Amino acid sequence: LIVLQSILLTLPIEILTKICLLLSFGDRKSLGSTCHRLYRFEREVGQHRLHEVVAIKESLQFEIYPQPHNIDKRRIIVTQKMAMDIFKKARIHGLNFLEVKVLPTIAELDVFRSATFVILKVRN
Amino acid sequence: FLFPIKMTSPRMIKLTSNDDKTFEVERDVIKQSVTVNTLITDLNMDDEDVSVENQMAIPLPNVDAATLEMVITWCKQHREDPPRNEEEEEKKEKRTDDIPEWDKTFLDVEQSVLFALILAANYMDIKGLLDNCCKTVANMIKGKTPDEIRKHFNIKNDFTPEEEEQIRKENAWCED
Repeated sequence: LIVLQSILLTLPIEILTKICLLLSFGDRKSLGSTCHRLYRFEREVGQHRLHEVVAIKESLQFEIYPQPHNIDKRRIIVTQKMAMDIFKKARIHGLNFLEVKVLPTIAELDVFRSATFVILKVRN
Repeated sequence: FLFPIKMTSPRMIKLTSNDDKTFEVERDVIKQSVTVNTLITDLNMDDEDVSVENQMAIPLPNVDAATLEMVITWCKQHREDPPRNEEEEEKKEKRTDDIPEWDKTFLDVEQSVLFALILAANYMDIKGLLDNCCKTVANMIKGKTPDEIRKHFNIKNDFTPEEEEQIRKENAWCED
């Protein structure tokens, strides 16, 4: 019996990482939910990649939060619940929405999930 | 005044695939491959006194003929592209909707062919080709549910129902 392995899983880790980093947070989570190997891989990428691209339009950000808790105009601190709302809204708008810069102290994904505050760094 | 113009034919380089097929390609075209470019320099193959007939072929043990032919086609198409500044590329927003139309059509191939191209572009260090191949794969993943991704890439679901439920809970906060 020949079991065909997915060609995607035969790619070297550095290529898989490159592809993964082109995905939005949600799409990466979907990829990581397909099998054990990609689940472990996705978590590795998430943990080691703190600086991620944010692709949410400022206009959208202010549409959601007219009065965000500004640190400066491109950096806001939101709660996890607010982050969820932004994700949803960004998806509805068909944006390859945002990647999240987590505070270094709460960088690990496990902690990130239960973190109270998350920094969303908005791209210039 | 009329100045004599020396007509020179383009410098050619020979490449051999892992299934022993040799291709002659213009030096100017294949310079996009950092691997080949480095070999040419290291082996002093830019010596104009050596004719292409007497020239050693560069072996590419990780690339088959069909893939190498595609790589050369891609390099010919992109020979006029400005040189990449990797530092700038790193800073750029990671997008997948900026694949040139020609590349989109060129890369609209079976998964096995696309993945062979990825491996060849990686081995030959052709960053532009590698980028566009990876973007094409990313676009295949985007917007799909885990089950759709599994079907698309023939990935076996090896989670137990309990594990799947656990992952669903973990990811619930970023789902629609």
